[in-house]
Amino acid sequence: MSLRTRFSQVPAWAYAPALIAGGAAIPILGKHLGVMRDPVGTAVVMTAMIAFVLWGTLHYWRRLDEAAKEAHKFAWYWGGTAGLMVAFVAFIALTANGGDLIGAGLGGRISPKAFVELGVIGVLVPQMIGYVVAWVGWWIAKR
Amino acid sequence: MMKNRLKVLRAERDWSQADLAARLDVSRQSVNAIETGKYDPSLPLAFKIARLFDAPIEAIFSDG
Repeated sequence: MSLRTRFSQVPAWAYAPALIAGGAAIPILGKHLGVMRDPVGTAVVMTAMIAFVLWGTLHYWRRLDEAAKEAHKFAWYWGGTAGLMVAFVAFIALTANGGDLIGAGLGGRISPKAFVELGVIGVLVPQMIGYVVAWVGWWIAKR
Repeated sequence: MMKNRLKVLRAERDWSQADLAARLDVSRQSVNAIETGKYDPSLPLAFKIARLFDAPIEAIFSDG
């Protein structure tokens, strides 16, 4: 049985847990093998993880019918954009008055790493929430 | 959104939404969305539907 045939038999819903598990396993393995001790090694491992997830997502995308693809495109555009706008408002509000609220929110963990993490998470989480809300809303509207 | 006769054509053949979805290689949810007029299929899918029911596209879909 060819690899393509094998993939065509995997139910579409099974891709998400498989990609999350596989994607998480790569940096865990990278840490275990000591590859992620420096920024270059970390970048290599994380690039490998992204490549794996993109490869799996491509197979997942090919399995979807056009309505399911449309739902994802709608969710990415409207949900993702709305989430980004929320993050933008939060960014403006939290940096007002010198950004004292950010320092308080980090609970004293004032470091470049903490600020970068807060910035990335502060954008990704609202975008993902917006994505999920818009995706669910699309399917409810089309019922 | 367009109107369509998909539900009638499907009922004439005594097919469930799942049966039609399997024949069109789409999900049952997609068939439901098309039938209720809440999702307009692409041209390739519309042609596929027309071929399946052996009818011209305009006999199945109308823009009114």
